[in-house]
Amino acid sequence: MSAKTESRQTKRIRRSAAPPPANHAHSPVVGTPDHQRMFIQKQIESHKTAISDLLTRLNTLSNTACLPTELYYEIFLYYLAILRGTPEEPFALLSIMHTCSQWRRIATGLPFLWRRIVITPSRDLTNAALKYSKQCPLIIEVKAFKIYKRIVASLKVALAQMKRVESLHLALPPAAYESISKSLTMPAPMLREVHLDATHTMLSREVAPFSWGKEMKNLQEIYTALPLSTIRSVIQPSVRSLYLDLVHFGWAHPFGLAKDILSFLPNMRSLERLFINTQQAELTSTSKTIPLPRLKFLEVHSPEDFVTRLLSSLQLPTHTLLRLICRSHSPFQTSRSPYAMVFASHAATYPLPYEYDRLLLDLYNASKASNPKQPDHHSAYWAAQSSRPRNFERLEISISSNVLEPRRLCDKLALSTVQVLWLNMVQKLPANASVNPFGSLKSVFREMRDVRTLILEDWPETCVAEALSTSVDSIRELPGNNPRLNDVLFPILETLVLKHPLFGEGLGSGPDNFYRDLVKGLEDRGGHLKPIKSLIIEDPADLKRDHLYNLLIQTWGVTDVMCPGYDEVYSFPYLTTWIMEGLSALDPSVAS
Amino acid sequence: MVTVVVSDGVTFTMEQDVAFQCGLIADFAGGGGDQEEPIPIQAVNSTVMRKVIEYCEHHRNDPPQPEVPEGTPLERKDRRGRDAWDKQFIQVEQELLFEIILAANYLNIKPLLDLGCSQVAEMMKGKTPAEIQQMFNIVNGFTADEEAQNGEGEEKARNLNS
Repeated sequence: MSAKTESRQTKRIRRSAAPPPANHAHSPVVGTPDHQRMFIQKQIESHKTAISDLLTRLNTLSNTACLPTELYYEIFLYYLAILRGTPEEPFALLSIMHTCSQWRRIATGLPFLWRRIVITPSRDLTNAALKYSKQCPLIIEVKAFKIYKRIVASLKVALAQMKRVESLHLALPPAAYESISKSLTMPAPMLREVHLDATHTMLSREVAPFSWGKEMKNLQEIYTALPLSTIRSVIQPSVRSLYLDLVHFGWAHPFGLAKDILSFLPNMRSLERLFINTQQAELTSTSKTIPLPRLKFLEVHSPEDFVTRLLSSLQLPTHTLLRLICRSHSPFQTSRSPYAMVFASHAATYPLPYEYDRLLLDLYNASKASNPKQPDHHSAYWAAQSSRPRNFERLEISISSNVLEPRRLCDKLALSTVQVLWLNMVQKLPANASVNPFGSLKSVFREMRDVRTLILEDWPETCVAEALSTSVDSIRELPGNNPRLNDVLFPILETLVLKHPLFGEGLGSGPDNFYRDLVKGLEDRGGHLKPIKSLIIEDPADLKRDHLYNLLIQTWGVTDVMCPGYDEVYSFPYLTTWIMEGLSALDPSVAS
Repeated sequence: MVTVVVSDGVTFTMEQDVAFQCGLIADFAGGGGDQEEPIPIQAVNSTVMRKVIEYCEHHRNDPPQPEVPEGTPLERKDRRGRDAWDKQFIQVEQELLFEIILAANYLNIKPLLDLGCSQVAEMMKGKTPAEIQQMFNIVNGFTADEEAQNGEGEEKARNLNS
């Protein structure tokens, strides 16, 4: 071996033994395997840092790079809002976190983004939301149609933080509530809203009473579709809104008795909004009226006699807005039909959907009619009432050929403030009908001088004419203060909605005459009273182009004519042609 | 009338009710009458300012935005609607969109800022993180720890939910 060669080998050994340059990736490594490993690890880390720096520099070229954090916050909030209620909602923040390191840091550093927790089967997701929301008040929502163990477990993780829950929206199968009821006993000083919904019909007493935590001084809103026993312990003076939705999936569950509802109210002096949806008709009169001095809004969906008795049991401020929707109609043509009797026999045995309750009411009415001597057990009650609650905004009444109950209800109310009147004719009148339900209620309608919107559903055409007072012959001759003005119904009507008006033998003179009279009626009124601005004819049978043309062209006061369900209306090609022809006749330059 | 001069030296003159939709200009002018001196707007160029003025002119007769209670921004986002004109107005190149957002933020025009931010959110809707990265030219730059956390997070959660 020559000296020159030895020298080269020596140099190579020396070079390999020397520490490699810090940024040289492929430097040969000597020493123990541990040393070598440590060296390579350091190299990897330095490369990673360099790559990370380069990526950061690359991100500065992105359009999003210029945004300050507060604008990211705005964008992320919009992103969450857009996905709200979609299946993607629970994963929205995960998507943001997985986009890039910067977005991840921003999202995890904004606790407010995480405060709304939509429960999924993933406990990790719930834990992440609880962690990143820090001490923010929480909104917890869950909707499940079956009892999934993972969802319940995930919900329990969230409910362990009851002390910072502000809003709780639960929609679960009734039986699932049992497994979480213990979590609800914890103090919840920040709780403001409780919504308890059922995603399944309740066929038995599946939901036991809840024992809510005692510290709920901020509770303001309660909604329940569950048995009233679930909220009994949480009723307290701080509550401002109470929603009792006791008709679920078409079933009136038997746990929301009217006397229970009334038993809540004396403890709710701060109540501002009360909503009751029930098919319970029974309500015994109470000797004392219940004062609700702050009530601003009362909405009741129930049979008429319940409404009337409830109103008589409450002492309301005069400015309370009332929205009363009364149901008492039967799905059957006549209550004596064989089908009706079969259902009625079932009614005695099983829990019933609300339609059956209506049927029973009809049966009661029918039996009363067949035996006039049967005592009217309401008469004493009616006689005892003297005050008439007022300030209705909206009144919906279902009317059959028997107008007794609606009349009784109306007789007990001050109707001068009704602005929206919805009359639903639920029982098809026979072709040779001798009774005109509309006419029977005319004296009631005359009281409603403030009605701005009138909705006539399934009414025969003759009643429409009566509603517009076209039968008042001298309407065109009425001076402003003529006492005969009182004969005109709904003098300041602005919107008339005709939902599938009925034509036919015995019900009027047919569509041609009807639409002609309608145009005339609208014009007569428009000339001497406040004109009707909107006319909506839903699902119009036998509406022809000419009818519509006349409605649009000849009724000058009517600025909107809408006919949902009438396909041809949407294109309007013939109207455009007619209008252009008319304009051209006036001014030939228009056509060009 | 109010006159502003933007970063590239272009001058814009607009009526007071248009100009005062920009909180910054209203503050500059002190709510008074006509402004004689041009107001310098150094953070906005003329292209963006034209769009801003177009927006302000269209919305000059809008009723004032109702006050919303603090603490409910998510609900606020839910309620805010966009009319057809706004939707059309904000369909712009991505670069211009972000410039409009920054300008709206700088000039303090809350409705325009909301419109821009909601448009970005709309663009993100229905996209995977990888698609969002591609759309905005972002690389993830995750550390090894973050990568590991990502790996076990989303996929597992989604699988549980399906």
